[in-house]
Amino acid sequence: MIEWLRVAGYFILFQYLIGHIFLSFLWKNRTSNILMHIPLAWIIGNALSIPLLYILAFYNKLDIINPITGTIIFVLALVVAGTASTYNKKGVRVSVRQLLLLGAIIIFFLPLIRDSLYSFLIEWDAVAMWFIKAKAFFVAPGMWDNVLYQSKAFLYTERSYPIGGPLLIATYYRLIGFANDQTVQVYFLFFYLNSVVLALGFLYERIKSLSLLSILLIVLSFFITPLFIRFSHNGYMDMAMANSIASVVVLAIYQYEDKASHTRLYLIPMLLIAGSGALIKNEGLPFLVLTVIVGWGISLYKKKAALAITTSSIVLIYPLIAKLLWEYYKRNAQIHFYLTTLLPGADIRARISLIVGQYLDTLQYTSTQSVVVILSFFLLLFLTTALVYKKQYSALLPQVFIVGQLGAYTYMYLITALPLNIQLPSSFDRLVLRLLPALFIVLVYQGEKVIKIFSNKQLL
Amino acid sequence: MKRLFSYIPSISTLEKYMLPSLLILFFIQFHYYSFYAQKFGEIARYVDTSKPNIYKQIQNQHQYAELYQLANKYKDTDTPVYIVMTLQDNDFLDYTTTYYLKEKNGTKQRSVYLTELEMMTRYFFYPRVIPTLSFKQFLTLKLATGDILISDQDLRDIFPPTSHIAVIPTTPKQFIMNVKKPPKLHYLFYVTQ
Repeated sequence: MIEWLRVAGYFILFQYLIGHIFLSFLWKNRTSNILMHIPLAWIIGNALSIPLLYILAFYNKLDIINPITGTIIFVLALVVAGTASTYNKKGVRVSVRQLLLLGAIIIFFLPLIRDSLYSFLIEWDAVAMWFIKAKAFFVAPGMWDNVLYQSKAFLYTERSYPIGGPLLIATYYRLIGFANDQTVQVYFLFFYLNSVVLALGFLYERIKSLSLLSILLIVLSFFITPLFIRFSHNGYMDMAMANSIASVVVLAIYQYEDKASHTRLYLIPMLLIAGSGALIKNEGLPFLVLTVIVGWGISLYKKKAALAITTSSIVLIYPLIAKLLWEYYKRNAQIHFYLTTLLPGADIRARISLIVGQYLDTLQYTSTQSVVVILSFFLLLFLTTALVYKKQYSALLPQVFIVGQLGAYTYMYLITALPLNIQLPSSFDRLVLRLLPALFIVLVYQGEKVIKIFSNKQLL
Repeated sequence: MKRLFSYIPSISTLEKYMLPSLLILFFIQFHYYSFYAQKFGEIARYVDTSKPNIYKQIQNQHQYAELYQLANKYKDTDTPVYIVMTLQDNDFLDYTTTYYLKEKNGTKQRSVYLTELEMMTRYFFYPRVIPTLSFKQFLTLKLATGDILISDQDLRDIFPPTSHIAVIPTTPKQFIMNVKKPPKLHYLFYVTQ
């Protein structure tokens, strides 16, 4: 157990190191706040690993991941990360206040960390879709000659779904030589913990007048609803997606606010994260399209777009290659996507009425979300109204991601072949969960703007 | 000392107005969280970390622990293992027990019944594929000594000629995940003669 735990720790640390190396070279003249640097390094580490795992799986070369190669790569990453830190001239800013916040978060979430290490795997989608695929990529060296993709007995696993999550789990299994579906849950808990730290860092960075106590109370109140706690470490991929979406929203805000010549520094990680999001879940694809539109749109608006768009396009090729290889494999292995067509005779108007009804119900569904969603909704309405009255339309930009994703979900519900009256209530709360960390970022960003307006007494 | 005190929160005017609401909101939320945190601790306290087999200790509390043990014993052998689903009918279809298969040549959807028992069996036995039999198919099956049967019903009650099957006992589990309904009953048998 201790050995498995140690390997899980190295695997988690490895993702941070890779992300840190990437950010150190990319942002060599930018000072980062440690509370933002840590979660961004985590998600970028994952975004860089996932396409590579796809490529290895396509060429049936997952066998090269074993305890020996794992150790060598980890030591290399450690050395390069040390060098990268010295290369980065401005580095990462660390203060006692930030460390206090980080320490408080770690102590507060210790029960979750402990439970993620000591709980068995039981929830449906985790067993039926993600972890059985992880076993498949542990047993087989890749996509080809893989029992799960050949036998009709496994059609229920939704074989057309992206395999980013299963490949990460299989990597851990390969590093310890055993399919330990208990310890690996701590890895997925980190998508949740990093979302919390990202929110904490963003609030700390933006609203400076708040004391540490208020920052902690606000962030924890938002992030400890039963919905978050349940999906933080039950083997589902929703928090991985939520973490990606929130990180992209933060980077889009940075991109918009920084100098025109710096837009590519944010556009590159944005497209990498969104690109790998498309390799984790299907909804990642519309999110990638949205990110490209918003990211390139900001670059064009700032009038120094050519370099930013060119370099980010080159970077985007990396996750796109993985996506294309997966699509090629699916076509070759005749793996169909079950949501492709609208059922004949489906009534769009009846569906829209059901969907809107569900959205309104969800707002008031407090048994799993507590009061977080309804409070956030009204706060968002208030902030939006204030910003529209003061003609600060640019502050509404991050909302495009939330509205765009909701639009994509609505479209999915319009074409789903599953019985909508059953699928809608059983899936929508998780779709909301994926947007909540991003919603928190949007609220803080717009809250900062409105506080400025208030403090200038422009509204009074 | 003065430096230490500088980290004690200084409250701005805005916060003074905000803090009571914020504290109440936090305690509402913490009420849920503390419930989970307490529940989460139970299984961790049950596990003896000084022993080397922690994975198995936790897995023994799995709601399908005996199925897991069975899979460990038989997944790499040739011993016949069957899932016998007596309730395999469209009357029992719902979103959580069904997956939808798209026909290869068109857009026609076919519903296929899936239960948690089959799902867990396929997971634990992977990569060995365990066939699922309907009750009718089971009646025509020629069983041999040592064959394993996994079923949603107590086959001894509903099918007297199978009196030569013995049940593999399952024990009640202490740690049901608090966000999940307890699973339906399931039965494991081996053929004695």
